[in-house]
Amino acid sequence: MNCEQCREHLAGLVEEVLDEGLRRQIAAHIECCDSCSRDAAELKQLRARLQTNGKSLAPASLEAAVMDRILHEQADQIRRLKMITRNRLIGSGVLAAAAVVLVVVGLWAALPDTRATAAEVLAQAAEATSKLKSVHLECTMRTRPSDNFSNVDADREFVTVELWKEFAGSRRWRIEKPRRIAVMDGESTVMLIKPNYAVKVGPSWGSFDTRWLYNMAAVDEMITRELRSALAKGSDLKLIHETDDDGTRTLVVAVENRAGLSDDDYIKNKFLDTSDTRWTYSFDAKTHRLKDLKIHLEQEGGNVLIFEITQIDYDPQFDPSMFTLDMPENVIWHREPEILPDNEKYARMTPEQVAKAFFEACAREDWDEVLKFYPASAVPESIKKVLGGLKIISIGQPFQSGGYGGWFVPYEIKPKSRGIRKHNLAVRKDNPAKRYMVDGGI
Amino acid sequence: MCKTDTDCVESCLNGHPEAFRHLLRRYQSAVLTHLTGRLRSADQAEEAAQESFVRAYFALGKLRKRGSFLPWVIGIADRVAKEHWRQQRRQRQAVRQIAPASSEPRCSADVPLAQAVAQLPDAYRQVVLLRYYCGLSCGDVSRQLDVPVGTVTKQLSRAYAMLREALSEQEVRA
Repeated sequence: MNCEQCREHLAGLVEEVLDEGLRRQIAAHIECCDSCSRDAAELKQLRARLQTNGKSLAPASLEAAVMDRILHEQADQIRRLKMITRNRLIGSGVLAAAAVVLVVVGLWAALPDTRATAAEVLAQAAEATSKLKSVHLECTMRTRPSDNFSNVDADREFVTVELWKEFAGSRRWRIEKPRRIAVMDGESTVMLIKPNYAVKVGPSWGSFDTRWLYNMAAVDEMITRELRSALAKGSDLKLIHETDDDGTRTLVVAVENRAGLSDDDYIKNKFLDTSDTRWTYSFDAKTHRLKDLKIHLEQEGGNVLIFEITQIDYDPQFDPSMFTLDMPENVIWHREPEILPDNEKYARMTPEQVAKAFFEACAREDWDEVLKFYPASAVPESIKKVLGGLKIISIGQPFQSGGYGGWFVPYEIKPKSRGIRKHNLAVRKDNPAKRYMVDGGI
Repeated sequence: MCKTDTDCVESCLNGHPEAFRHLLRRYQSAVLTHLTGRLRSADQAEEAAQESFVRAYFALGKLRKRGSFLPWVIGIADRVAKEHWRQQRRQRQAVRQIAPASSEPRCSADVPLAQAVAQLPDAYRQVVLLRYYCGLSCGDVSRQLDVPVGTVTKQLSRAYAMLREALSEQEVRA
């Protein structure tokens, strides 16, 4: 070991990232070399100075000031767009506010050079729906009936997805697809995955992967968000004027949304926010209200319609029972993992080890052991039936994908009474016990 | 919560400005240090940092490598710093009287150290900023930059050597 080699590794030494052999060599050299010994001491002082400086900076006011400016500047941009529309109308000589809305369509027809921009249409639509008390959306979606609410699958048939939402008071809501229901009654949010697995959290506006649909129901916020996003990205919003068979004029705005994932990313095109999509909004040109929304999945081989709002009811009255969710008698509740007496042993396990241990426990039908990896009060009968007595064929190398905070572990198993199954087990450890738990992919 | 820079950027571009907070919290110390070094004033650095982040937000659509937010916003901060210098030169030319002494900086900042960091070559500066001003371990830095830990520590070693030299020269000049 010479001085040059030693100096190259001094940072590694003080950072304690060197392997034991190299660390000993450098420590031995420093002991015998005054120059390197001085360098090591000065490096430690410099490091301490950097650490002190790093911790002393960044006043909290910077974050608040920056966010404040961003939100104000965005609001200004939207206001400017709305002003452009109003000024055109005022400039045309129209005086009464009520008359303004009624002549909008006529004005646009009479003055072809002043066609509204797509952004102005979105801004007006946001304003038109900003005072709603409630909304009901009936939609069709290509999705697995029992999977997450945002799951998309271009190869599936359409299923019905519905939302009921109140904007006043507790802002209760209900979202339903064939095998999954989520309800927020003002005090808590409960999701039931049929037949009998349930999860409960506090009051929320978009838990359990429902945020995209919840946001869609807040039509004005959705449109404003779309507008902000388009402004931020500099997107080209396309506006098309259409006239329906009954003479109703419709304004259609199309927006491209890119997930930013590569085509070979596992999670690409499996959920709405991990997909490249085209959202086509249709607004009633007279009321500016949203009439229809279609979402197409953009993929190699052509675009596929994966979602459509088939009915929108503005300000409907709801029966109070809409926001209650009856549980089956044999309900099994999701439970956050407890810290076990031997938690350290499980906390040290890698995703691959957890997947192996989970499936081995299923193979033995050791359901108490399975519960150390499965976050529930009991193992559902459906899991016991499918996975009990299975044979493990292989467990693969874990990988991460998209924005998912956990790991996917490829597996191949042979359940007792079914054919070979190949899939990816999702595991994550962002829980109080800090150990990997199964999160999906069974 | 945004786990990665890419998550946060995508979230902002999908109309969720609040996601930008995560990027702010991660990188504000690093950008402040860099600007303190460039502008030699902690007060001006704070103002310039604010401007840099706001510009970064509205230009997010232009960020091609979504996981490389820090070097990109440092580039914006450099441009903001240059504009500050030009503005200060114009102000110095316009002022006939000696300006009153500026008030003490609100945040404690080691200006000579910040200057030395700001003068490091880009690759070394990025590693120092990530390690000491973004709270990342060597392992985190290696994952963020997608290089081995050994590369990170070697770059740190070289950065330390350059910083020591720069700080000694500053002391001699002072």
